[in-house]
Amino acid sequence: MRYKYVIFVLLLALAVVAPVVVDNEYFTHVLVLTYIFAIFALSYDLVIGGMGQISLGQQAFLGVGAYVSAILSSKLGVPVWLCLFAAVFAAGAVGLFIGCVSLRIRGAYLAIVTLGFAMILWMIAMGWRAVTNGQMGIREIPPLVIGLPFLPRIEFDSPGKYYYLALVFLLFTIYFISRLMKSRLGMAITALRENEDRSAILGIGAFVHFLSAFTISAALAGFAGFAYVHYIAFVDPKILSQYYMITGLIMVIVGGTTTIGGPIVGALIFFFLPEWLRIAQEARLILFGAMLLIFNTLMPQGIYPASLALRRFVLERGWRRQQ
Amino acid sequence: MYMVEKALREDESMLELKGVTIDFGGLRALDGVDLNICQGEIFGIIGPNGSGKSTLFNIATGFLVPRSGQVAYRGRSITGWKPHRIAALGIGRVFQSNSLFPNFSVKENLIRSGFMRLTTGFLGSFFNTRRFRSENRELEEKAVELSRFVGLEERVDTLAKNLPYGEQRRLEIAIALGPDPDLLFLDEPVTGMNPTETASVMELIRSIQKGGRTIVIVEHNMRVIMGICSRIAVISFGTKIAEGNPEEIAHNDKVISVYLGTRKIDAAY
Amino acid sequence: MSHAYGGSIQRLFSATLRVRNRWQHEIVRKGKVDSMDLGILIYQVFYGLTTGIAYVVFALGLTLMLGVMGILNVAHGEIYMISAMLYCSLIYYLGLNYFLSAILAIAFVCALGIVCSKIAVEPLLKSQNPLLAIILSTLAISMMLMNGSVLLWGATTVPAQLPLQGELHVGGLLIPKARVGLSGFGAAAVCLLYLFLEKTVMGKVVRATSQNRLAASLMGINLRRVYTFSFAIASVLAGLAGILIAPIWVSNPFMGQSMILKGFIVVIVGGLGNIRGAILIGLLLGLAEAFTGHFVSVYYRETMGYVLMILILIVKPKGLFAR
Repeated sequence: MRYKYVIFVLLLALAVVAPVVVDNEYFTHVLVLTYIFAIFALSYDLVIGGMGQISLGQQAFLGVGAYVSAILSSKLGVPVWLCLFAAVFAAGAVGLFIGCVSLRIRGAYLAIVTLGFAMILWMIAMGWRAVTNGQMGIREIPPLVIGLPFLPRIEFDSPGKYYYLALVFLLFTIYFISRLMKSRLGMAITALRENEDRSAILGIGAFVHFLSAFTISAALAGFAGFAYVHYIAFVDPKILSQYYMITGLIMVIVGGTTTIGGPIVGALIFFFLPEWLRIAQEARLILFGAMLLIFNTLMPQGIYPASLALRRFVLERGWRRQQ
Repeated sequence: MYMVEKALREDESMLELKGVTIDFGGLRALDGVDLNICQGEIFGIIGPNGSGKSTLFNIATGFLVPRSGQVAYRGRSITGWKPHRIAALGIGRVFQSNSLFPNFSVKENLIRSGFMRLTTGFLGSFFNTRRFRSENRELEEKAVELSRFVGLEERVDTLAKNLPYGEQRRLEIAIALGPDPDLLFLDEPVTGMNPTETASVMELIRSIQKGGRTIVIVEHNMRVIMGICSRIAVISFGTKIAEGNPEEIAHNDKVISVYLGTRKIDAAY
Repeated sequence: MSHAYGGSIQRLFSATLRVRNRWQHEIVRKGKVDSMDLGILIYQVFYGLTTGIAYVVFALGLTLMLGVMGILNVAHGEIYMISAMLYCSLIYYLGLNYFLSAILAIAFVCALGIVCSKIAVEPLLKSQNPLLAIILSTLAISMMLMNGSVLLWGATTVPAQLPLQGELHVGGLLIPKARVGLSGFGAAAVCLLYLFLEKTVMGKVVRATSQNRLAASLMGINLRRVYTFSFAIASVLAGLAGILIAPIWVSNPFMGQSMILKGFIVVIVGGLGNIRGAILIGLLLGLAEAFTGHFVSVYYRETMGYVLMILILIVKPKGLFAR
């Protein structure tokens, strides 16, 4: 069991020195995107893996977080860290609303309704030009800044600097989700996922707990949106499109559901594999489609949990041989 | 000791069904059923397949809403309440099948069964407060105790779906006891068990009752019913055709005709 | 229940009418076409119904798969798209006649559908959460089909000719013959499907399976064959919908994306697996879009469907006619 902590510290050390060792700004940039979307993937997995539900609208919360922060900080000059709260709160509120409407009946119904809401938000982003600049999007979004009184002012406006911030965000998310799953709510949704009737007898009501988890996952996705928008310094309606939904799904399914490492591995694969294989845009999507299909059919729990199982299997085998 | 003595009034009515009626499409599944279950007894419900016994359970535990009639728990109306609210009042249940969390270990199953005792929410977990840690420790201890009570202590880390059938059923009973219910519904607890397993489950049920709980049990196994129940009701085609103690039921003409030869079955045992 | 909402729906309706009247008076005052002209109203109705029939044909395929197999086929839109593209390409590039092209296109997508079902659907029907697994696998297939089509045809449109030239003169209105012909085809197909399901043995087998899969298999019905058959029929329906739409609108590789969204709306509001609901709501959607397009603005036509769906769901969470 100590294994876990040792490996984690090793990986963390690796992550900390990576941008220094690999002195390539593009590499750091891709890694930053990986971390930010790992947060998004973790929020998506909360719904798909943790709750066992199908949401095709997680990109809505990503977009809400992104747009709210962009509008507040660039058009209204609100200090960026305040925008963080606004973005997370707004995304959570939207999640609460969508959840109230759609979580009573689930299955295909929930899938379609979440998709519908995401569509409507996309159309609002395209159409409400006064606020969102429509298709042109919002540019010149101020970067994140830490201006503490007696310390030098740090502006996170380059991949190198943003890298450590993104890493901190990701670590926070990891801690958050692991504590969530150990809490009362985590226990409730995993129980509901396994056997809803049994859970009811144990006093676990489906709707309330699902709604809470759904809202939290929305807030988390909004957080990812906030991080994304202040890094890229640009947002357009594309962030609410199905492209990001598919991105999230691929990261979750290929990487691994119901684990914390899974979506992170998925994010790494999603961003680094095409770079490694050097494929054009359309072919990239076909590749991901094929991967999604293959993994969903053959390895539905994803790469990371499968490798955990493999490792456990190998260890047990080795132990027996020693005896 | 885990089994706390229940400080309840003797002969208090635990569950009362008055005129419960429900239809499924064009079929009247239950027609004006009256039942009164008293504190501390083991109450049996028998009847041919399809007579509505499971439906009765579903109505009493909130999974179905009756078309007419009332359900009252300790004098309080619970008609139409949702299952998890009814569970919070102290009613537990073991389903006929699929009554556990298959992909979790025995311990994890039992930990979840104590859910209603948790008070710390997410913030407690996030900051890893002392109260959070102590509550979780308590939950684990209770889980181990429960497993000991049903004799599954050895198997505490096995996945529930990998347990043999008899042990699965015992696990299901343990899970139902997790929230410390005063009234427990058992839906065919010994179906598919050999005589040894059946006898040990009967003992288990008796010791549950000794702890002061009330038990309602639906079973087809006459030996079990006659052996542990203090009162029995017979349901056929949605109506109650008889009620009384085992002696009375065994010699009731209506019951015999419904079962076409209860006497023969009694003789065989 | 409806009594409680009856009052507010009345008020909402009359409010909408008042707003619309105000708009129309604006238009009349500005000297534009008198939109209160009965002729134009009838034309919009006709226009809406003809588009609606295509929606119905499409949605029937979707709802059939929902009812029989309990799955949501996200690739249904791509099958429709490929049929339309193939039809147009056969006519435009190879000069085949309309009838032959239609038959070839539909036959091709039927085969394609069967292949897809063998790869992506049937193997996953036994998994722990078949609905989620199949949504993901058909999503993957839809991605591959769509991007593959973009690679094949390019991200452009393929022109199509109207199979029937000229217009009918009906009481002072000019109605394109093509639309009449196509709608006739569509209506005939729907009637055929209805008759098939009600009268033939295979139709009854399909209906039985959709009502209770377990009972059907216990009665000796070969479920696998029913699934393949239903998928084939659904693909034929999607293909037919493509043929009905292709001459009227532009055919491009992205048309599947917008069509599947409309299919979702019809299916959710009409009830998952409900055939009569699909017919009614498909036609209503066509009408609603036609009216929105004419009286409000073409831009909001697409959004209208989703807004209406959400509104209806808030009032009646299980759709207008739940099973």
